[in-house]
This record gives sequence, structure tokens and C-alpha cells, in this order.
Amino acid sequence: MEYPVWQLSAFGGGFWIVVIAVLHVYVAHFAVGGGLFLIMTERRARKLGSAPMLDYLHRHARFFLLLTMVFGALSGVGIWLTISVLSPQATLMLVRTFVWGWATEWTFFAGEIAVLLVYYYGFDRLDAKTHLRVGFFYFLLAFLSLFTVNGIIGFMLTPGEWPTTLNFWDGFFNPTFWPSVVLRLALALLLAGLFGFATALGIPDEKTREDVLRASCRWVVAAAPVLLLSGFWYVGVLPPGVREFVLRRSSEIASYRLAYPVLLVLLAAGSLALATHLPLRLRRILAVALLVLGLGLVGAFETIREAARKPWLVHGQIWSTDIRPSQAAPYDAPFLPRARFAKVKQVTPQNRLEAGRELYAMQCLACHSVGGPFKDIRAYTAHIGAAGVEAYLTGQGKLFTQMPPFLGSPEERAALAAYVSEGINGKKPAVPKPAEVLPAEVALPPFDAAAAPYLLIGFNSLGVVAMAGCDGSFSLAVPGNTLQAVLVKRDVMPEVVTKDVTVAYEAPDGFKHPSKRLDFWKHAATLVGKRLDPDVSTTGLAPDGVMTAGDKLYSAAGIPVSPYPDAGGVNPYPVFTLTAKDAASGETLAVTKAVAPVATEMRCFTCHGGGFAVDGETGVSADTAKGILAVHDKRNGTDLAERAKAGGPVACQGCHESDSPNAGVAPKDPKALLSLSAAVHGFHASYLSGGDARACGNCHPTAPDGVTQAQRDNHSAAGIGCVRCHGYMEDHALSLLAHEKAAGKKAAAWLMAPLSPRAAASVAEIRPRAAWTQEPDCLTCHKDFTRPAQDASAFGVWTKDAAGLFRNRKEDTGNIPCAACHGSPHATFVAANGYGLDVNNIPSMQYMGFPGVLGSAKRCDVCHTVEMQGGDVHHPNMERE
Amino acid sequence: MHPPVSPAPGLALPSPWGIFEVLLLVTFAAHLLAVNVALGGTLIALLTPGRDRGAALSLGGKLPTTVAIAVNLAIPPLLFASVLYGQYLYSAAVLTAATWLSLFMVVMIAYALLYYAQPRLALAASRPAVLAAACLLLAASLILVNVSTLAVRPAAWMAYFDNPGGTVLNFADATFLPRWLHFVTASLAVAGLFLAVISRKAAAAGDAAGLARKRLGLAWFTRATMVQFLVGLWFLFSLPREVHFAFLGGDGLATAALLVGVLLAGAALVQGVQGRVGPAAWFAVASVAAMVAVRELVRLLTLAPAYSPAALPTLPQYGPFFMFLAAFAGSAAVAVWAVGCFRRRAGRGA
Repeated sequence: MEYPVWQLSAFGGGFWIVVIAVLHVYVAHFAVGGGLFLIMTERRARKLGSAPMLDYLHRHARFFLLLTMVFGALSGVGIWLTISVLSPQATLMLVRTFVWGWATEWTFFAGEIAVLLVYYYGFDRLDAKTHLRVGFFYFLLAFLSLFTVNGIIGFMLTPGEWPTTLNFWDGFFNPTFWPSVVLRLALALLLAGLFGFATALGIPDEKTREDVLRASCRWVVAAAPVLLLSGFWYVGVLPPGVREFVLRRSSEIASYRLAYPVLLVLLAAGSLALATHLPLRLRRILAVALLVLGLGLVGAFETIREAARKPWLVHGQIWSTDIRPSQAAPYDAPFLPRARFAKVKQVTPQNRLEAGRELYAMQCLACHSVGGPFKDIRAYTAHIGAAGVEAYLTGQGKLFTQMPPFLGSPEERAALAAYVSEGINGKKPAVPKPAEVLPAEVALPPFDAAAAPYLLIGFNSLGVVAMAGCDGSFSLAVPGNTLQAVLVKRDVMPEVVTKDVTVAYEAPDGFKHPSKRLDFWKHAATLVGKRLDPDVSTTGLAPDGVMTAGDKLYSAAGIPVSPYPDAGGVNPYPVFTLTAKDAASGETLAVTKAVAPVATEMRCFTCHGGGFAVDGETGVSADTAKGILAVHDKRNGTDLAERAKAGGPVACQGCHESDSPNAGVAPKDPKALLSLSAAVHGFHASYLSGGDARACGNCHPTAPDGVTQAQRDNHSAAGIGCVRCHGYMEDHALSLLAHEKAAGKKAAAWLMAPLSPRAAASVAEIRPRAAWTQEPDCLTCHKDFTRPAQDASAFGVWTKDAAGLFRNRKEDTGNIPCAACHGSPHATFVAANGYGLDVNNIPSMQYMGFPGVLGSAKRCDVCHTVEMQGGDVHHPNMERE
Repeated sequence: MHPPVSPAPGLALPSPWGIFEVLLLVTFAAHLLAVNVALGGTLIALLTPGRDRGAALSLGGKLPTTVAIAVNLAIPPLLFASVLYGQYLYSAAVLTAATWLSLFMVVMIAYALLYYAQPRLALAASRPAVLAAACLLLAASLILVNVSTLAVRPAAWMAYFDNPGGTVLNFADATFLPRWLHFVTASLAVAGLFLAVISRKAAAAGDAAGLARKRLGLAWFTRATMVQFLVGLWFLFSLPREVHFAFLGGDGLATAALLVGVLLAGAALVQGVQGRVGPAAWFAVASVAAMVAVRELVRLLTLAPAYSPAALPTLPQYGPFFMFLAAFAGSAAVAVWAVGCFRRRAGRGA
């Protein structure tokens, strides 16, 4: 924040430091091991009295001198220059903290140069003993140089006690110091062997050549296991959080972690091959290949070490962005006014892309190039738009800590997201495209209020069933809605009838073959563990059938239904026909209609890429599903994408328990993982925090301009959105997670940690609830069935269990379910959306001729054949005006 | 635009600032002498290789080692300057990152070219390599002058807003050209003197070629030093008014330092004109040391009053300092011993 940022694009993302540092480390380690190689080989040559070997050594020494002093020394300076322009603040911190360490290292380096020059130029000039002694001092000084730098480099990953004591020695002899010294020394010896191959192959004298090759082989083969074991030691001394990151959580490290031992094995095997009598030409090729593999080994180790530090340059002190947490606090305060070298200080609609560019330079470019070879931001964001990028920024550094948190205000976050999407990925700003929805025509059966002996009221239990509609990839819920019906025998004192009467349900034309356009039945065996006939639900129901008579209620639980009519298009509101007949005579007693809403409208593509699957309006596409599974696999070590690709998709609720009526399958061990609702809300809350009810519409079919418009009840019309009952995303997630945490599920605490409640002062004040069985209680706001205050909120008071749910409750006489008169959850009367009033208010439209609560406006005559007066029979406050 | 002094952990000095200042002056003077020989020597070997290319051979044989020493001696002053002026130096480096980062590559190639040319110096065919090396070393000097002038002129940092790609060039700075010429001229003078020094024994032994090299070296030294008086004046008056006034009596220490530096240079010149190589060399080294102090005073005065390294927070810990002293003594002892072995053998005619 105090320094300018070198605004590279393709060569951002640490390109320069990676290239320069890896090459320097390669040569610098050779400079150490090669020193020992020189004196050991010279000793052998002198012992054998081998002139060809001494001659070779002289040439090798010149090569060594040129490579280490010209490239090694200058690239070392190059690292200094590079880090000072890429991370000036961290560089200054390392310089001041370890200035005497650096100065000490310089003295060794200076000594190295002096004695190496003497060693080379004195090859034929000094006596053997002195020459060897000079060589020994070279190695000693080179090793001391490595020893010193090692302490400072290790400090960056594991500062140990230094942050508390600020003591030089605590930082220098940090936890990784000794394993690192051993590892680096072994690496130095291995590289000496590799370079020995490269130069020894040019020895004309065969005996000498083979002798030196065998010696070089011994260096590599001996060093390889030390490198492997010290690697284990190194990882073993890492702080638990870092170790966990290296071994499990970092997807970036995984391939390097695998490469490290593989390369060691290849190097050892290749070295053994070089010591055999293969043709010289082949061995020369092999020697070059081994040098490249050696470079790869250095790269793998250094990349693991650098990646393990993420998101820090100096662990716990300075982020990769060269910003200190203490500088940045509070993280959500505007960033640009605090950045000394920001040209734009305040985001406006006119400068948002420019502001985004500046934010990108200061907070992203250190790790993410634009179109370059290192962590090209396009590879991570090209599949999503600004809203998706914004969500990622919101969640950055919260659950997965390899990146620092975004620093800045919501406006700055949006500007950065817009810059990434529009400025870098060339996408156009998102323009809302409202779904084309027309009022549905419902042929309501006639009702003669004066003469009709029966009244049949149908309703669905959930208001809408939400599925993903990507059953070839995964399933969130099985396709099926539950219709229920109450048959009322009209009278002075009406009676609910279930005896000797059957109630049949019949899907509308075009909805009798949901398997035509849903893949669920193709994959039922892996999704829900059993093969199903097409168009038959997990509960054994078909689109047409007979309801089961229960306690004063008919029910058909799990009728297979889809929002996709057979002939094409989308209709989330299929209207079923319910017919009550005398069981004995078959006489039709009453007919009504009932809507069985079903939706696949999930906007997962916002963050996971892809788009809607059907007509650009609904359904999770295969591309989107692939992106989702990739994230799940990456973060949880699963193989869901592979299984889906092989034709064996799984249902989320097959592992994550769900008490949803549409679960269709249960996990073997419900206590093993978070419930589906807690997992999904808990995970996404970190990315969608700070939003309002619109956040819900990312996953639920509640967008007012969507094809479903499921949030259509009278609350919605009064401006009461999701959050007034369920809480904001953070509150909602916390309530679910708190329940899981109390149930002993470990992941709950991890998901809860980044969330700050908005409906309560602290997490402790959030009341836990079980998904699906504990929901907001209507009577929290509607105390004694009265009209609540304008700002009433139902959040935090949950039904005790499923019996208390609105969809399961009945009025005071115990005859009529609440939903029969008031409508289904989230569709309570008067319900309205783009599909019109008829389809959303069928009972009242059929029996009263206008939308509303059945029996409202003193229409007791819907059931009662005489005028009713007095008393709040069904529930208190019934007679309010 | 002045970076504030941050109290964050790791930014306090581990020793009093004066220790770093002294070490900066000493090591920078040593570095400067080596760099002067490397650059000036390359230019002299290129421009006046001498009869039978004697000067080129004599200088060129030592140039790779001189570059190695110069690079090595660059590290401590860079380190100590970073400790004291890091926020200025690094800000300037970022502004001109592309050139700053290319510095080591430029020097590396020059170094490699000098090694390449070393065994070929007797032949005119080595000229292209030496020419390329000279150009690269001159480029390196321009890069360093660019960063150095930017580092003391925060006002010039505004250029970043129009050029954030790391290619800000500070050519518009009034001190840029005289400062660079001051350095190049000094390089020619010191390298000339160096040629004279290394030819002194041969000349004294009556070797005509050695005498010619000595004369050539002294000619470069004396003429460049004469020119330097003019360039130096230009440089002095290009400095901001309050700074050059400080050196003209406004500040006692600054004025005295400059006066000492100029007098020493004058003494070196007189000795050089008289052909007395040894005294000329001692006066020249002393003059360079004095001018390094002048340079440091220029930096302090330019940054004042917004910044002074004396105001940096200090959290002293002397153990590491003693480690440095011990390592320095040990490494120096080894180096002296090794070089001594080498020279003794040479003395025996081996």
C-alpha cells in the first residue's frame, strides 16, 4: 500500500522470481556441491596419479568457475533486484531483520570468489596440498553461505518464535532450519554429480571417463535418499496448519509433491544407467536429460516451499500481495484512498474499470498474470461473469486460505470484479434478461356454492420442489411433488370425509412422461440406489394415480413431475386434476385442480460457469455441473466428476443427509457428514455474505424475473422477503451449522468461522435448527393470528419439530390443514407472479371467485351451508375485518 | 509522497544507523573503485588498446576478475543502502523495474563477454566482444544513475501514474546527465591510473611497452581528471538549489567534505602529471572515498527534512553484528591466505 506496483500483465504472477530464483538456486547449489566434487575428485586424481583426471578437473573447474561466478553470482544479485521490485515491503523487512545475516553471507561469498579464483588460476601453480586446501576452503565458505541464506529463507515459511520475540536467532534458527540445511546440502551434492556427468562425458581417456562417471553416479545415488528423507523431515516440522495445507489442502502442491520423489527415483535410475557401458551418444543425451530433471527437482522443491507459504511472503506477517494485515485493517474499508500509489481514489460508474485495474495490480497481479504462463487469471475466471468473480472475491481467504482476503469496500470489490470480467476477459456487462412468462389459463371446474354437496381442496406440500435438473451429473432432490387433498362434505357443520371415497390425481397433458426430458430415471440406480421404471417415482407413484387416504387427508407423496412439458418449453406450474369419487358407485363427488410446482432454476453458473440448460431459462447445465463437481472433488478429495463421466452420478443427499421430502435416498451414516442444507448454505455463505434476499435467488427459484418466480406469496407482495423469516445468508447458514456443530460434525466449525451473524450480536446468540424439520414459526410474527408489525421478523424462533411446520399443521378443530385454506408454503394466498392469479390461488378462485384465503371475506359458506357467526373456531382472530 | 516510517515488526534497525552508514560509505567506495576500473578499463582497452594491443592485454586480462570483484562489492552497499533508504530505493526501482531488473542480465552478459575476450585480447578480433561489453557496462551505469536519481526525487514518482509498467526514465532530471558523465569520467580516470599502477613495475624495469602503458594510463587519468573538474562543477550546480548551496558554504560538513574531495583529486592530478603513480593512486583512492561521503551528503540533504535514517526505529541486537565481524575476519583471513599462497608461488616463478 506504500509502494508502487510494477504493472506487468503476462509476466506478472511471479514469473520473474520463479524463473530467476529456480535457475539461481540450481546453480547456487551446484556451486556448493560442486566445490566438494572438485576436491574429492582432485584427491582421487592425485592419489591415482591420473594426469587425464587432473586435466579433466582443470577443465571442469573452468566450467564451474564460469557457471557459478558469472551466472550464479549475477543471478543471485538478480534475485535481490527482482524481489525489491515485486515485493518491496517484504524485501525491506528481510533486509532490516537479517541485515547482519546477509552481511555475513556476503563475507562468505566474497571469500568464495577469492579462493575459487585462486583455485582455478593456481591449478598448475600451487602445490597439491595447498591447492586442495584452497579447494576445501572454497567448499567450506560455499557451504557457510548456503547455511546462512537457508536460515533467512526458512524464516519466511516458518518464522517460529520470532513474531513474539523479534529475536534474530529465533528467526534464523527457525523450525525448518535443520531439515532444510540437510536437504539443501544433499541437493547440492546431487547436482554436483549431475554436472559431473555432463563434463566427464567429454573425457577422452576411457578409463578416466568411466571412473569419474561412476564417482558422479555415487554422488547422485547417495544424495537421492537423503533428499527424500529430509523432505519428510522438512514437512514433519512444519506447523500443523501449514503441514495440512502441504499434504492435503493445496491442490497446487499436489502435483509437485508427487513429482519430487518421482524425480528422485528417475535421477537415481538415470545415474545408474550412465555408469553402465551404454553408447556414449546415448549417455550424452541422458546426461542432458538428467540435468533437466535436476532442474525440475529444484523447481519442484522450491515451488512446494513457496506454495506452502501461501498466502504469505513472510508467514503471518506480509501477504503475497506485499501488504501487511495490520496495514489493511479494517479489511472492508475503502482500499484505494489508503493506497499511496492509486490514481483512482474513489470508485464511480465512470471509472470503475480503471479502479478495478488498479485494485487488480495491487491485490492480484503478484500471483496472477494476465495471459501469462503463471496463474493466468483468465484460466480461473473466463468461465464466469462479474457476479461470479465478485462472489469469489467475497469469499476469498475465508474458507480456503491460500489467498489473502480481498481488501476494500463492496464498491471496490464490484469494480475489481467488473475489471476482471470486462477488462480482462472481455465479457459484456451482464444485462438482466427477464424470462418470458405469461399468465396460465386454468380451466377451473365449476362450483355451485348453493348446491354442491362436497368441496375438494387440493394443495401441494412444499410450495415448490427445487431440483437441479442435471441428474446425469448429480442430483440434489428427486423429481416429485406431494399433492394433498381434503374432501369436505358441506353442511351446517361440515365434515371431512375420507371413508369410502377415493381421490384420484391426474397429471395434465404433456406432463405424463417426465422421463422424456429428465435424466433422473436413466441414473436412478446410482442416484438413489434402485432402478426405477420410467415415470415412476421413488415412492412408487406415476403421474396419474390414486391418493392415499390418511387422517382426514388424502395424500400422494412424491408424484413424479418435471417443469419440462413433453413437447418442449418450460412450465414450472403443471396443474393436476383431483377427482373425488364414491368408492362403491364410482360417482364423481367433487373435482378440483391443484398445482404441483417444480423448478430447476438454479443459477449455479454464476460462479461455476456454463449456463442454464433449458431454453436459457432454467436447469443446471452439464458444464455447470462439471464445474461444481470439480470444486467438490478438489476441495474434498472426491471423484464425483469421474463417476459422473463414467455414467454413475451420485445424489448429494446420498452422503449428506437431508430430511427433505424429496431426498429419495439416505446416507449410510447420517452423522458422518454435514446435512445437505447445512453443507450447501454453510459453504456458500462465505461467498454470498453481505447480500440481501437477492442472494437466495442465486440458488433458489425466487428471482422475480426468473421463469419460476416461486416467491409469490402474500408476504412477498408486502415486501417481506426470504431474510425476514430465514435470516440473511450468514444467519441462515449459522443456524443450520450450529445444529450440526452440536451434533458433533467437525466441518461445521470450519464453515462457521468466517461468518459474522447479522441478525444477532454473536454466533452464540444464533439458535440452531435442523434443516427441514425446524423452520420459522408463522406464529412468531402472527402472534395469536394477528397481523404483525411491519418490521416483524421470524428469524431465530424455530418450530420444535416437523409436526410444527406450517405444511403439517391443522386448524384448531384438527380437520383442515393450514395450507388447505391459506395455500402452500411460499405460495400463501393471495399468491401472485407472472403466471397469474388462477394458477396460484386455485381453491379460492374455484370456490370464491376471487383470490384469497379460503373462507375469508366472511365466505364461511364455502363449507358451511348456513351463515356462521361468532367464535374463532378454526383459530383465533378469524373474524377480523 | 514520502513513505512513512512504519513501526511494523521487522522494520526496526538491529543496530544504530551510524554503523550502517559507515559500512555503506566504506563498501561503496570499494565498489566504486572496482566498477571504475571495470568500466573505464573496458573503455580504454577498446579505445586505446595500445601498441601491439599491450594496454588491451594488460587491462583485459584483469577485467573479468575486476567485474567479479565489483559485483561482489556491490552487494554490501546495496544491502546497507536498502537498510537505510529502502523505501526510497525500492520505490524508484519499481518505477523503473524493467531497467532495474535487466541490470544483472546486462552485467552478466558483459562479464561473460569479457571472459570470452580475455584469451583473445592480442587479436583485434576481440574488439566486437569488448565493444559489446563496454556498451553493456555503460548501459548498466545509465540504469544505476536512473534509479539513483529517482530514489532521491519523490516528486518524480508522479510519472508512475502515467507509466506504471516499470519503464520510467528520469532523463528530465537536471542531475541525470552530469551525474552520469561524472561517473564515466571518473571511471576513465581511475582505470587509467589502474593501468599505470599495473604497468609501473614493468616500466621501472625499463620495459618500453610497460612504460608506454604507464604513460597511456596516466594520460587517461590526468586528462579525465581535468575534465572531471568541469563535469563536477556542472553536477554540483545541477543539484537542487538548497543542496548545492549547502556545499558552497551553507553547510559546514558538506562544504568541508567537498573541499577535501576536490583537494585530494587535485593532489592526485598533480602527482599524475608528475608521473608519480603511487602517490597519485593513494590520493585518488582518498578522493573517491571523500566523494562517496559527498554523495551520501547529497542524498541526506536532498531527502531532508522529510526523511532521515537517523529517525528510524532501532531494536538493537549485537550478537548478529558480531557474527558478521567474525565471518568477515574469517573469510578475509582465508582470502588473504589463499591469495598470498598464489602470489608467493608467482614470486617463485612458478
